[in-house]
Amino acid sequence: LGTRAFQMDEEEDLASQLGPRTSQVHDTDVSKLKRAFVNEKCAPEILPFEFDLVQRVVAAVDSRESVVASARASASTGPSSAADDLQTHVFQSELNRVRFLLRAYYRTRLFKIENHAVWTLKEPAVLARLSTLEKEYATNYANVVEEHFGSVLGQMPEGYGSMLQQIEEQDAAWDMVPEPNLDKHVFCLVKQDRGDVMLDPDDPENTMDLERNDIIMIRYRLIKTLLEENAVDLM
Amino acid sequence: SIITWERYRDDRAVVSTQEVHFLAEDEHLDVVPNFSLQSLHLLGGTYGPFRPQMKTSVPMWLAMLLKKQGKCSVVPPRWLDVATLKQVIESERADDVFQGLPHHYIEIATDLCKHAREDLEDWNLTFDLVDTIRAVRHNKIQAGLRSLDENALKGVKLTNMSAMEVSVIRPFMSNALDNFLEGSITAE
Repeated sequence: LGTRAFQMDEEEDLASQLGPRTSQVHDTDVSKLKRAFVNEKCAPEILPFEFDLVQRVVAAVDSRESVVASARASASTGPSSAADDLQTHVFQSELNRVRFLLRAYYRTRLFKIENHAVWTLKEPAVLARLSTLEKEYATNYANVVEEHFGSVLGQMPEGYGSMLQQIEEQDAAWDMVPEPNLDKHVFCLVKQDRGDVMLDPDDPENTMDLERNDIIMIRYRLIKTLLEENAVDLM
Repeated sequence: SIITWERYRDDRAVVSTQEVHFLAEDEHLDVVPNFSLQSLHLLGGTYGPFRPQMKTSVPMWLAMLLKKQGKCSVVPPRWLDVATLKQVIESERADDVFQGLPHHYIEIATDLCKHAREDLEDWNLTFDLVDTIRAVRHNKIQAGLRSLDENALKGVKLTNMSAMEVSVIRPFMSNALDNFLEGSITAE
């Protein structure tokens, strides 16, 4: 009993020596944008556009950019302290990081829109997740692709020239439209203790115990709701 | 048949190693400045004030910026010392489970061993030990991957896997299970 207690003490000591999993703060707009970017990169389908968050971050970036620009201007025309120069340098470095996050967030979404342009336009629930500019982009992209395909499809036999259907048929499904694969496997980080959760309605006896900081690899479809509830983040 | 674009490799669809490192750069480290500066009100938080010899906590990207300018020394995190790392190696070798290392342990160790060498007791040995930990864990991951069966389609728990490790196995593991799933659906 004595040896076992000592072993457990050693394990606890090591665990406390290793410290917490992460020391990042989670409630700032920048960290929320970071999570939105990573979730977007990992999810097979396009997620709802973070309109308010992006608006706030863009406003903060614009305001900081003018501060840096005027600091630069006055530094080049007159004396500036080492402290001011350092502050400007740090401000600029952070700006570069935040601008990267914004660009990467937009680019990942545009990539998904391009891959599934027609499907995005025809599914109202999906179209609703796009920003106004993104909706325009989806429409223009789909038109450009249709024109491009038309140069080949126009040479197909009668009835086979559609971009949307294998065989043109009134009222038939559009079976040539790619859509995202919601069964793609993703990695996710559990953010809340949820206890035993039934993830697959087709297999209701199979539950998974979800505790904060668990990492699970699983089909996106099975954790889609948890992601919408902000109970997990993708990684 | 539906055209699938999933096999098309594009960096807009993959979290790259550089991006994982970028994400790690918001981890906090203690630094000891040799300069004075009022608080820095950054978009991501307020840091400082900075006073000579007064330890303060900053994100890693800022710690490295200050270090490269010769404006601070970095306080290595508690887990990044030779004795602790050796203990971790022993535990990793003894158990099937993964030790609870910080999520970005590889990125933090790499940056400190690259840019803050004189602030570590023995940066060469430290880097070797971290690499050994990475290798031992990688072998365990490989063994785990080999043992995957159709139960994996219900979800696999990877407790204490680190950010970089997830990024390294993601392409193989996701594709393998995606294909396995497709195969098992076709087989029905």
